[in-house]
Amino acid sequence: MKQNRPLQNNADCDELRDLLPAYVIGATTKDEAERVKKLLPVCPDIAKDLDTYAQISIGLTQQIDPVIPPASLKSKILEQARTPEIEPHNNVTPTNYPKFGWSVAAAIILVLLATNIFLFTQLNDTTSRLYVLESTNEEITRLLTDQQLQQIGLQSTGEQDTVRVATLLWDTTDNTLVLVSDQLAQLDVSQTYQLWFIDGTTPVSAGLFQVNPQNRALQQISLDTQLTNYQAVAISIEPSSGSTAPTTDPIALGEISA
Amino acid sequence: MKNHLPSNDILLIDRINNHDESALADLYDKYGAHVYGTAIHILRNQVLAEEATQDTFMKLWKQSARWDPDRGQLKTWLMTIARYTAIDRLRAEKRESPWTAIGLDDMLNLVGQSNVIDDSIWYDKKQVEGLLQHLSIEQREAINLAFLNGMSHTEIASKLKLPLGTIKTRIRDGLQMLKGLWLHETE
Repeated sequence: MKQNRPLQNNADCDELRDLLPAYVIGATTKDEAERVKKLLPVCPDIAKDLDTYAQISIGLTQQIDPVIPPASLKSKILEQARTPEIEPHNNVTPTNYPKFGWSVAAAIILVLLATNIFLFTQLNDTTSRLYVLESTNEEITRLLTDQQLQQIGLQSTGEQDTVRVATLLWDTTDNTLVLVSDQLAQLDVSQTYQLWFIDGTTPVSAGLFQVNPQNRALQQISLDTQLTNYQAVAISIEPSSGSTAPTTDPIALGEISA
Repeated sequence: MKNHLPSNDILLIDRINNHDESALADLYDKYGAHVYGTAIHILRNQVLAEEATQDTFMKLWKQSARWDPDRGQLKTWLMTIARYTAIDRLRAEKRESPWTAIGLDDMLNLVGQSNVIDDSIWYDKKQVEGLLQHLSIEQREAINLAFLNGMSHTEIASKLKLPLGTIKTRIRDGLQMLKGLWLHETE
């Protein structure tokens, strides 16, 4: 009787048998991993071993001894869990939102494209730190209702029409900053958005942020230097724990005016 | 074969799904040392290990609804996230490319589909150590570089200055031997 499934090719299945153990522990290259995924449905007899290798992977983890963490770590984790994600529509009165000049934003992007400021270079500064974004309802509300603050629009860098995907609100009197966005997609759990301030061609991390299920982000940014020390601000997508230097091209850019 | 999972883990996750912070505290008390141990073992740096541990528990706090009790133990799920997070951070600190060979979701799916039974030898550290002793030092080294440092075949070959084929063979043969030993033990 003819079976209604892809025919097993011996060479393909031999290849899968060779790659499967390494795939399960993450030792394959990206191309090899893609190859494994393609071959698994084609070679069901070999694919049965996936279960066993997954067990081995679990076992290898069990080898590591537990270590009592520092006493302060528990409270840090619970404190972070308590920090709520801000819902802008619950906390912001839209009529207080200052207007933004779209023509100015468009001009900024054209200048940035022309000067090729999109190029990111690896940081050599080993003291670069990741700033953890924190948010406080009170501070954000004060900033959003302050009509004296300056706005820096971050425009998308895609090949299609550029749109503003985020806005940096800047109180120039005390250097308070808040990032606001409602145009960014939710990311996979293994990724995060990272904000960068650019000094010349050197990006400096301003911290990580996520968007809520409504695709909104609203977070205060701590900066220990004047914003005017930087010429541009950018957003990139990085691994979930962040990066010391951008590993992907920016998805949004904005110019900082002195 | 269905798992007979500790019901307290299921109750714990139910409470976390309802944003019960005391449940997060209980989870940390139960597994925090294991997560931190994994992080410090991989990262060899207390500050980085603390951050990776924090990231791990925050991932679980935000994604707790994704854990399926029919697909593996909570500890396995949590430790998989811990290992992935620590390796991710290790590679970022070394300014290496992100660990893209296998994403976290794929990894969680992999461990989730293993039909773990309560008395699996893989939860007995002494038995696992006994099995690993059957591997050569070279095989254990290659497997650990991949498993605990997130290094690919190519990167391990470059680090050890050995041919790529040699590294592939060591990892494959070492894990196939473990597979054979495991199947023998569970017969």
